Amino acid sequence: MTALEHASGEITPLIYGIATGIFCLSYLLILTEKVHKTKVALLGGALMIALPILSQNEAFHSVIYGIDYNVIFLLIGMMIMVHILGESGIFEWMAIWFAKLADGRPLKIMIFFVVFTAIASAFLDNVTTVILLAPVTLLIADELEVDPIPFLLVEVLSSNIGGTATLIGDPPNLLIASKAQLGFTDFLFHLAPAVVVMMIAYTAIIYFVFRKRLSVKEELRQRVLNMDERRLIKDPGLARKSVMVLVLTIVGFTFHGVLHMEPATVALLGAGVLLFISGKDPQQVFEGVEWTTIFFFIGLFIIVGGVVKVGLVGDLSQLMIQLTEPTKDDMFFTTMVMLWFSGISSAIVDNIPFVATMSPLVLDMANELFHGGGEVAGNLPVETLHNPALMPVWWSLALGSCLGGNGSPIGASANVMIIGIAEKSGYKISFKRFLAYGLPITLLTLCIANVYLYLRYYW
Amino acid sequence: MIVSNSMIPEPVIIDEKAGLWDLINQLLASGQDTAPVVNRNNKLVGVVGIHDVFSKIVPEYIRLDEKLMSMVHEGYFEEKFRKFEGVQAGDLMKTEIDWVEPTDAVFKAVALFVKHRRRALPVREKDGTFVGLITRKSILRRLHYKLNKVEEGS
Repeated sequence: MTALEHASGEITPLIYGIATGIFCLSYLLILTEKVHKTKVALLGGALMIALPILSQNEAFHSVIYGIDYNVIFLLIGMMIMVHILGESGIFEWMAIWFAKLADGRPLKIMIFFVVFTAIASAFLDNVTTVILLAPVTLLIADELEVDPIPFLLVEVLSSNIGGTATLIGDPPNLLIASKAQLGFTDFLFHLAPAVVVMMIAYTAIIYFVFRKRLSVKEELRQRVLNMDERRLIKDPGLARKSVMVLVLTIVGFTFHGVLHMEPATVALLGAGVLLFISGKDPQQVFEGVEWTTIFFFIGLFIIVGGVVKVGLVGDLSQLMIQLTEPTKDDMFFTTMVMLWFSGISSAIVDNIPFVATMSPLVLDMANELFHGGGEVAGNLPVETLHNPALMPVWWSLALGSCLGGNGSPIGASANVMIIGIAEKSGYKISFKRFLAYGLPITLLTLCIANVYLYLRYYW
Repeated sequence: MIVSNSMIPEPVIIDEKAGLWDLINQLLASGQDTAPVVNRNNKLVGVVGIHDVFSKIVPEYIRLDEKLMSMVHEGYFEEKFRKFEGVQAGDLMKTEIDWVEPTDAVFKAVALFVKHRRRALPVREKDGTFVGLITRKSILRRLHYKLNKVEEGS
């Protein structure tokens, strides 16, 4: 027993204060971006164990307080697959093919790329999607001699919207799926329809805003039409294998319930098979895994586990209950507050730590409402987690946190990435210019989400 | 062997205000791949070479995804080159550079050549005053001369 532990094992005010301090300080540092977020998360997580708010056993092995390996291995599996897929050239091949299909006309290319980005982001990580598409976009803009910034901006916004549609599209959805025990088809069935409506509205806006601004000379269009996209695929065998394994993995995600496999197992299986049949050097492939992101998640899980254990998240959920007054049968106001609160918060702070905190808060709220606080919040029965009154709250959290990422340049990792690529390429995207695109689209998509949630679950 | 007796004491040097064609002509005439850039006070401010000219022409997206290099239209290189005709040596030069001092051992220059795959390094005094250029060939020439002299002496 350490000096911080009470003799009875109960949480003393000192322990509560220390855990809250670590949590607040870590989130503050992540928000200000003064220190790399992975350094903050790892140190915060290590302090939670060292002090000890959580025992090492709880941090490493507890389902309630510890690292969520379902999320970790799902991320690693997808990163391995996407890295090999990226090397195959298939993504660039498709992009050029779309540009030619658009007849080399910039407005059509923009719309095709926006739709392509949304679909790709639904199945690949948003950051990966923009990293793969941004160079092709810059190439096309260079060849057409048009400003690439509007193209890059509409694509990154599309990536954040498209990523909302599926379990694997955006990290907040992974966190929600794991806590709420929701499957790939749940997300597809409940969120994809809203995303389709948003994308229709979004592309319509793009059309009306840019229809008179984007036109190029015939000779420039010919440059795009003369591109031979087949030259992008150096190893057709690898391209075929990568696409086949990715498609099978998505099928696996869709039927993971029937297959009795968690999504992480499906992703690991896909990664293992592709690594095996691709003949790639594992050392080189593993360099493509974003280990900083993985360790950011690991640290974050432990930090959040610490504040869940000391009861801070429980107290916040009580506050949420007092403010929104949900009942077992009706959580309409809670759903709406969750949507807009998540949307606004995710524009200001990284949506991953936000959802990492909010998802246990929803669990605690469900425990309070449906079991009078009598169960362990992290171990609620599936019937409670999937209660029809609670489900819209999960969806509003997912919609708000994913769509809110478009609200500012720092709202989502993909935004930061695209701004960085543009700047390196000599195109500065100012905070104001990003907001001019991002803010109206965030408001539009959140309004659509609001109407969708109302019509689908409360009308 | 020390740097001062292995270097080229009067290499082609480029003024930071020199235009692109002036720079290219001087490099072609001297046979040097790179040249030191000095200011009016003869202080070393950077190094510029053919690589820096080419780097300006190759866009960032090709560096991010080299597969795309086969997608640009015919004549791309010439067109981009023409767009950069107005740039000056000072816009192209690298300012974060390695250098050696005249009293350094030649081995330091050799080690830097190997480590950073360089062909030449500027030689400067502690206060930044430019004194010469040491190249792989100038080192070999000196080495050859020195070894031959030893053999003749023995």
